[in-house]
Amino acid sequence: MEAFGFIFAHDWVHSLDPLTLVRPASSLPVLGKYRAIDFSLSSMVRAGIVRIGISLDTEAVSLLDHLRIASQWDLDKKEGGLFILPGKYLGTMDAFFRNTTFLRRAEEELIVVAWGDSVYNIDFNDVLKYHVDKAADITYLGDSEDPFVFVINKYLLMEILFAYKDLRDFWRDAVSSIRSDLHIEQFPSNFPVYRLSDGLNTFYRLHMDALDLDVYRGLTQNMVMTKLRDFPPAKFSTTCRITDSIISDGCIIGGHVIHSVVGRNSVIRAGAYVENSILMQDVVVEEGARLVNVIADRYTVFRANREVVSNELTVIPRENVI
Amino acid sequence: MNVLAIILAGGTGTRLGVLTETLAKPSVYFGGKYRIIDFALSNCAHSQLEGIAILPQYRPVELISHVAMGRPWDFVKRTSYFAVLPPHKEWYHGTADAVYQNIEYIDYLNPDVVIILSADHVYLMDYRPLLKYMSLKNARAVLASTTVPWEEANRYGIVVTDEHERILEFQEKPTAPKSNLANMGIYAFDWHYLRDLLSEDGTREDSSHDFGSDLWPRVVASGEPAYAYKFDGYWLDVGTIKSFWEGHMDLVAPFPRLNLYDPRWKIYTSPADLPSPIFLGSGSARSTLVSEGSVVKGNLLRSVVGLQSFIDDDAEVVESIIGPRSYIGKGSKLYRVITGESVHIGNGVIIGEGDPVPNEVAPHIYTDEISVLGRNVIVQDGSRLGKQCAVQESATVNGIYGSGSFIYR
Repeated sequence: MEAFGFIFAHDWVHSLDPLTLVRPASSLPVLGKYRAIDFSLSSMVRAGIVRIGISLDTEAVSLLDHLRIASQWDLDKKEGGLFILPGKYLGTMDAFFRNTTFLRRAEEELIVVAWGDSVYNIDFNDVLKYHVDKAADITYLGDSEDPFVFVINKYLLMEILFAYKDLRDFWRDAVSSIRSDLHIEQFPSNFPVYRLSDGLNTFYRLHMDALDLDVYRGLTQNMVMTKLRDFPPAKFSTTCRITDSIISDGCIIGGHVIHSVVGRNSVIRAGAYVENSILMQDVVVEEGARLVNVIADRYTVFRANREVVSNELTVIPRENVI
Repeated sequence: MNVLAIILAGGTGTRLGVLTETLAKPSVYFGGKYRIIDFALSNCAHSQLEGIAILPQYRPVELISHVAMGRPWDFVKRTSYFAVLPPHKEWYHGTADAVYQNIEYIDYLNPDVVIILSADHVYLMDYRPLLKYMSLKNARAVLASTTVPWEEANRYGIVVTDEHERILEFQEKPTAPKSNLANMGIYAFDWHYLRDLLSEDGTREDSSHDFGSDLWPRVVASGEPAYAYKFDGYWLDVGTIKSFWEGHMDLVAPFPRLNLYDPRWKIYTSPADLPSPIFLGSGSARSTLVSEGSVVKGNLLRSVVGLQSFIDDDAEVVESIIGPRSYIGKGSKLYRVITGESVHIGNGVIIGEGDPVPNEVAPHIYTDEISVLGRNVIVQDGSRLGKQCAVQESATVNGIYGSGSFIYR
């Protein structure tokens, strides 16, 4: 099925502050080694979609850095490939409207529109097939008021764009107002989807759910591609204890880790204790430090014997020393 | 200076037994996620060498698909000097002949200096100081050497030098070594000089066309001032099952002599796109490396687990090296086991029990209590294997086999 892709990687809501102060939700580090956008991007690539536009804020440096080497998603193409579409967009309508050149030049007629903040793992070929079989105008996945993916013919998309260009949101404002005139289908599915913009609880739930092998495998099956950092395998020293946890490559673990996700290149030293926590990449937990219910952003350092223990989630912003 | 690195990747690795039955030695997995050739390739990348020629021979397919266009090592350029050159005229008769048969290609690049490397060694080395040494000595031929324990000198090609590090003599696996300086198989030659040497060697009937045993002795005999550069970092010739196993035990040591965690000298390999390893239930790992995609429910001690392996409930894996995509069944106990990739070990299996008995087929290969399972081996539930056993690729093990057994396909 010939289709091209469009991913919204803006963050108009910043619902995970302070984590989203420094990056859009699409660029949130998840499951130890990924960024949220890897899931929509990889699902597209696996379905043979080789022309993908990503609209993002001009200040999304973290995301631009992540996407810098397109070959990591096999998107270094002469025809098609990865199109970074930066701008200060007001909303989805604006983001489409300012990139009509990209839409127009695409050779494919169908477009898969996705939100980069959503973590899921599906075969878009099934969605495209369903869309064609049903002869739908639009096929969407997720909430009918706020889907995380939809498929539409690009000419129909452009008609709606030009007819309703003063509206703000393509789906909530434009599509909703002409809903009765369109044949809209919902793709039937029951796989888990985590829309990170929903807030910190969704982000946390994604990680705790992933400590179940079936959920973890479901989310990461069939290759989820991400930016390589070429770390060696995780190393576990003589003093460590690990229970129900994900430990990423490049980590050196000497402490006790329970029911947690530890991101790439992190160090947990002997005598440290980490429970029900999410450590993004490059975090250091020194000897004797105790962490319970903590989300630590990248480059956080927990000094020896410090305690961050609470029944509520504690979020530590990037590059802090605790 | 225009430098071409030629990586000799033809090794059959016969002393790695069933691990290299259908796999060239440079393609053997090392350190969980790497293949042995990744070390030489990454060294080239970090040394900023741009001309790379890989010369495979034995079982080249997997090697060629692994290195592909050289992208993981950043060798992809608009004008690329990266090439994989399997035999295209006739089988390579020796290391020197392999280079000789590719004279046309090397002439086309016309390098000033050619560095000859082996794809069989595990080490982190910057080749630029070697090149600098070569020009400081104003030499046309230098080799890299490393000191080895005197008692092991009889296993190496030994270099005897004078006080200026000029090479006086070579001793191949000497019973009475005059020095403990081992030849690392890393050579730098002035291309025009090497070209003449190769052309002359190519016409000789009495030559085995090997750098170590033919070319170098003749270089020294001719009076050519050739020098031995001293390298003092970690260097492992993955020649035997024992050295392969010891290399992994070096990695799991608290302060490994081979530091894979140096951010300035990462080892690159082809990407596997696998999720981070997950530990479930009472699974544990101590002094152990676990690679991406693996699931650990059992217990690991002083072991290395390859990509996408599954260690099931209550399994106990000690001083073992588990190849990628392998499964270790519930309650199975492994002591000093090396597996190739995609090995399936059922439930309640015991490997590595009993007293060590010399292997019935190849006692010199399967030593040090280590049992080796070739790739795609299936060990059925409840089977037992002793120490120093070997199981051929794709064989099925069912029943009880004492130490030293050799199990055929």
